[in-house]
Amino acid sequence: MPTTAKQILVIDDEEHIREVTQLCLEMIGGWEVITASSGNEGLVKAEVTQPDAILLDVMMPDMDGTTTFRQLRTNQATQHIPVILLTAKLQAADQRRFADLGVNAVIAKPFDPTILAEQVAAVLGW
Amino acid sequence: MKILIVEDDRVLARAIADALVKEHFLVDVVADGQTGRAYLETTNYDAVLLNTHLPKLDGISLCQQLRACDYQMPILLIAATDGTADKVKGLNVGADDYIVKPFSVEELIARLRALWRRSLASTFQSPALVWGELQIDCNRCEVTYRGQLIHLTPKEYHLIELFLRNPSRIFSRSAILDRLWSLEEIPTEETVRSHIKGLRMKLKAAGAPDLIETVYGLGYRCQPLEVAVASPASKLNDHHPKNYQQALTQIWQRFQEPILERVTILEQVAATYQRTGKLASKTRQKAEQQAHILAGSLGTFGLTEGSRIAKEIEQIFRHWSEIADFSSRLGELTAALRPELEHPVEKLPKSLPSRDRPLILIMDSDRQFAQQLALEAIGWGLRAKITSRLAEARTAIAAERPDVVLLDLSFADPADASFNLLGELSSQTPPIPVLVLAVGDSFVDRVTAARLGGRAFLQKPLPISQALDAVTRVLNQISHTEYKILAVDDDPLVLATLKNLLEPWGLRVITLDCPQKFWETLATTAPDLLILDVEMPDFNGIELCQVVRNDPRWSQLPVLFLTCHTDAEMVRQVFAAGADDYTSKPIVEPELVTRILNRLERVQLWRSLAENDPLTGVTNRRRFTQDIQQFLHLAERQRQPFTLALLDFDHFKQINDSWGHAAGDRVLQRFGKLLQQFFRAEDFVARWGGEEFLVGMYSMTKIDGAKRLSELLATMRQEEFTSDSGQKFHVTFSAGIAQYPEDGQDLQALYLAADVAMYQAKAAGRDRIHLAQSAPLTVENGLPTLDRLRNYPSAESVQLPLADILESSGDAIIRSDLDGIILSWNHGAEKIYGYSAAEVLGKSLSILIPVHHQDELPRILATIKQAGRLDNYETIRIRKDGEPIEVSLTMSPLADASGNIIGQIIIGRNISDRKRIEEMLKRLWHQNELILNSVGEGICGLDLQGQIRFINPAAARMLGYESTAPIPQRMNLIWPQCRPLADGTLPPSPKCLIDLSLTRGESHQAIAGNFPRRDGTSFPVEYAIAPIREAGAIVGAVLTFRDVTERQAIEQMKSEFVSVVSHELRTPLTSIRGALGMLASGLLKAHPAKAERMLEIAAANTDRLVRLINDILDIERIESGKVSMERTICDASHLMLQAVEVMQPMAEKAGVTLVVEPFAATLLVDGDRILQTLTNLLSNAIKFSPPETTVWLSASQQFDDILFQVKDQGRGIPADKLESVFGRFQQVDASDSRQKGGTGLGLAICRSIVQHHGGKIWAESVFGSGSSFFFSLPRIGNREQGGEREQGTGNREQGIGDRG
Repeated sequence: MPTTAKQILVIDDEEHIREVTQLCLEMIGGWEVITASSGNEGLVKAEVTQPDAILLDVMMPDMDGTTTFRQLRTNQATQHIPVILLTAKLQAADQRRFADLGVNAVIAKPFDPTILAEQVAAVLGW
Repeated sequence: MKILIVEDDRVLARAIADALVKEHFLVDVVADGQTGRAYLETTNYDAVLLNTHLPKLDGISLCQQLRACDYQMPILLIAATDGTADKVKGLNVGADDYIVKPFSVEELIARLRALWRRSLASTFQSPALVWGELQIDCNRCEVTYRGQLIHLTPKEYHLIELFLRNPSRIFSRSAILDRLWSLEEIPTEETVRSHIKGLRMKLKAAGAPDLIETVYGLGYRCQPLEVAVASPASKLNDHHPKNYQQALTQIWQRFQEPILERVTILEQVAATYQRTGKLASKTRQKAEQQAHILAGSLGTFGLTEGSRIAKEIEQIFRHWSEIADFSSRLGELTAALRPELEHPVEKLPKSLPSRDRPLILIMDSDRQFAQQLALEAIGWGLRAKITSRLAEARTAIAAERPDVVLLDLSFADPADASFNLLGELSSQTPPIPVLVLAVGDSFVDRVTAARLGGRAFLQKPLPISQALDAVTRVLNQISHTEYKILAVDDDPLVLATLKNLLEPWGLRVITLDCPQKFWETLATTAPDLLILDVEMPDFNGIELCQVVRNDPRWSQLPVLFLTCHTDAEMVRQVFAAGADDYTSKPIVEPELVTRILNRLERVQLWRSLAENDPLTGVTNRRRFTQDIQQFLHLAERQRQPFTLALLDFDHFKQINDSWGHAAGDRVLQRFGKLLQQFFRAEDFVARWGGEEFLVGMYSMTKIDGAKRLSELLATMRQEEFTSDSGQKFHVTFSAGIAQYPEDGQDLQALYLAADVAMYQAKAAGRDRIHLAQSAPLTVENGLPTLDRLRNYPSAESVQLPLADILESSGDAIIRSDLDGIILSWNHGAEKIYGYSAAEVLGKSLSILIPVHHQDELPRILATIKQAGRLDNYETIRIRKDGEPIEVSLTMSPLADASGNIIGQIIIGRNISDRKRIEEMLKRLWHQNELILNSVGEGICGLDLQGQIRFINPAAARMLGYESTAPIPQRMNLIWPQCRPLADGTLPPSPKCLIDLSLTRGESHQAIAGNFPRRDGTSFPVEYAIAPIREAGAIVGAVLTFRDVTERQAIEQMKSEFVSVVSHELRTPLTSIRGALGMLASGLLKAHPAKAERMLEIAAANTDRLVRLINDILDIERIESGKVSMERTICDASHLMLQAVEVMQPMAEKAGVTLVVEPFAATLLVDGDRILQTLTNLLSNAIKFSPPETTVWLSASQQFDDILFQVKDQGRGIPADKLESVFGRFQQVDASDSRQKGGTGLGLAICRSIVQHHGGKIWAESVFGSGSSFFFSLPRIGNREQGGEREQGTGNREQGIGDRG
């Protein structure tokens, strides 16, 4: 196994959330973070950079997180990358819908930035 | 440190004892193994010195026995011979070290210290304590201040150590006595005072500050040091030995310096020697000593390699003259030492900050479930690891022992492998608790899992929270040594404070703010201490305390009062009610904690005396009764079996009589030990009284219990006992086993069942185990049958004369001949027809028949003549008083002995009443039908088979039948598949509830479900089902329902709005939370630029949140009509100019030109609101306009309305969004509003305002080349045509007047 730092792609349309997430994953998790501000940009970056995991926002304009996730899974080049949804929609029905989708985990917004990295690591077994 | 010396050579024992006392040890000496054993059982020693050859009980056997009952403290064997065989034997039975006579006392002490150091590793205590410049070396029991030794008496030394080890704790004098004085010394509290005084004086003499603080009325504690010697976290560590690694790291940080200094000394010595080739003996000794200390302390810190090197250095210094290459060896070793200490924390066993959180290992092939579980576990204060393969699981367990395992049965294939794994985990010592998860509820799986030691059986699918709840429950059970405190106060703030205050001390606080639930909470939690508020609604604390004290089970529970009043009367009341202590509000932390800890210490002492049987060491009846209640609750909750066994010695009286009571006691004692060995920690064993023992086994069936008992019995049979006179004898027992819930629901019932089974075992020849018989014949089943047999009337007694029967009948019984002449007339006939027998005998039946029915008689008689009969012939008859009555007649022919028909018997019954009731019922039915037909709810009557026998038109319509068309007499509804509810669970199907109603008579109200339509579609309903009973028996059920499609649609809309709002609120909150979290973590201290950016983000999002909340409140208020529009006369042009003025700065900033074409028109509007609408539209237009473009505001008259227009040259709005932009949170592009700082509610607010003014708002746009927003307002003159103008003017004046 190469010992280079893990790479995480954060896809969120909110600039501020991207920034905070990036900072906490970099500082606490010690990982390298790439960001994308839309589903489309995320799809491209995922394919090109082949990150170790993707943190994906659900409510985004143009292409929402659910659609983005499906496309990540249909693309052979990205279908193996674990995806964790970050979402502010946390009603039971939403939860079930996300669970049916087959993502690796769902983290609720707002999240505690000091444990986010640990949560991500726990889910991915890092 | 307290040491027990077991040595029969009194001279040697004395010598060792003296030497140890000099080294500040507390020493007890005994001369034989048995006495030694007794001492060890009653007192806690830190180490045992044990001679191998001892009278009564030799050292090897004693050591073996001690280890067999899990004695943990170090044991050092003293042997007379240096035989390897003896040594091996000694170490094999569990001794920690072995020393051969003759030996030097120094060596012995050194070995003891080494043992102590090793045992530290398991019960961590730091080897050195520091308070400012005061240093305490616990290995040497030396106290130095600024490097200067302070000579202390052993008691003074122990005092200082006690305070420093528990830096924030207050010790009362009696607590100090309990801890530092041995049992045979009988000091008074005054003694403590004088020792403290002595210690203070010595410290003062050495120039050290006063270490001990007197806490008035409570005792003493360590003075808080201004320069904190220990962070708060390390203080806590005294109470959380689990934080071993963390504590080590912290202590390492504290001691790093002196340790490195020692290394420097060694390096210097090595360098000097290499340079000069000389080594002064004083220097050498000092170096050896430094190396010795280093070896010890590095070992303690887990730096094994460093410790090893230091040890080697010590060795070569000691034997330096014998070592040829001393110089180079020394150089090598000292050089190797420092790198070992460079990054000690990394070399320490990995200690993540999360080290002390319990680890949960999830073995589940359902990756997604496992991952979500792992994620949420973090929020519950747990750590989680996931494995999805068996091999992986074993490695993970080997790498780090999990505190609890969640095992899905489908984890391994075949399922047997999962069970094997479960068995493996439960048989580890100590067993790793396993919670079993399974899809579906297979009874076999449940039983197997329970047998293999599974702690809970959880059925999938289940909410994550439920799984974690079960996990924490299991974890709490494991750490059962923690104290539970029940706090009752109606003020949640006080409860929260108590929780925060006490939980860091390892005390579990259960809070209760509702005194009504006190009793049940007390029973289910069984606290160790109770905190009560004096004043509470419904029941005050004093009343609760009295109730507690009145129950023998709780009479010993410590009760502490919290009170605002400390006047003498209140204090008297509190103590009169049976309280143990009180403390006044507001809560003062140290005082409260001290009072509680003191109480709990007493409890522990009292408990070990009061809850354990002194002879056998097992719990006594009182404690057992308490425990079993909790386990029965648990068994009920977890649906686990619980088995209770009753054991009784066979012929015990004879044992006492023939072998002496002392022998009997030995049997009991031995048996007590055996029981403790045979049963797991989660089982519980008690001496119930005399020679009777009880064993409770949770999650065990009685079959399993019987297996374990028979092993115990087999062992017991082999045990050999010796009487006082030296004769050998054996003892057996008989046992009965009962199981919850089959054999009994409570302790009493279980005990009775087990008792019966035990007596069966005795009767069957003793020395055996019997199971209670499930469902024995109950009294209710047996006795009545016998009674019935005994009391049944004999056949002879039923002999009433036939005539009597005829006479006493309520029916008319009339005999006539074939001509209709009445021959007999009974009492019933007299009552029905009103004639006496005398009046009618010999007369024709026709007197009873109305005129227009007279032709009936000949026809009836004709039928009778032909031997025909008429049953239940309903007709009209006339009473004597002329009243017509409705009767039902049964007429049968009457034959003589030779078979010739000679007449008839008429049995008649008056059915007038019945007929009347029938008529009433018919009317009532019609009424009911009208009601049923007109209600909007669907109503169906079901028969016992669940088929519809009645259906009202509403129900028919909803179910898809024409209400006018005939509805089938019986029809079955085919229930559609149930849809899961919002929480993921399946609702009970209507079919199943209907069945329950029909079979068990259950009623169900307001159930959500789906009903089928005739065409196969279904619709959501809310329904109710209730049984129909007749004379107590269920004959059917009524099903009422209503279609909730519309309601659901509204709810759906509502929930969608809530969902969107919550998303909109969470988005800025996420940024705020994230930014503040990062700042709070302290990680950004070194990155001021990043920290500043985080603050910026937090501030910007806070503003956004405020705007959003304002807008949401605004639109809610407008739409719900809570804000009335304050209409006044306004001029349109004025409003337009004002709006442009407000927006001008924004336009300039955006480089957009604002052009206004004021239009004069009079409006009756809320000027502020229209201004808000105009500025909103303008701000939108500016936001979406590229620089160098123009935004126009104009107005015109359109019929009776004034039409405003805001036009821009922006990118426009797609045609399909022209309407929806006015919805809430419906921007063309959701990211727009965020980038432009909007809230997504602006246009929705505009629409509300305009609509409230009776106007319209809309947008027109050519996508790509700008858009125009229009809104119309009614012109004031539009209702004022002709004669109504006057009134309009009046309105205007009134409007102005209102304003003024």
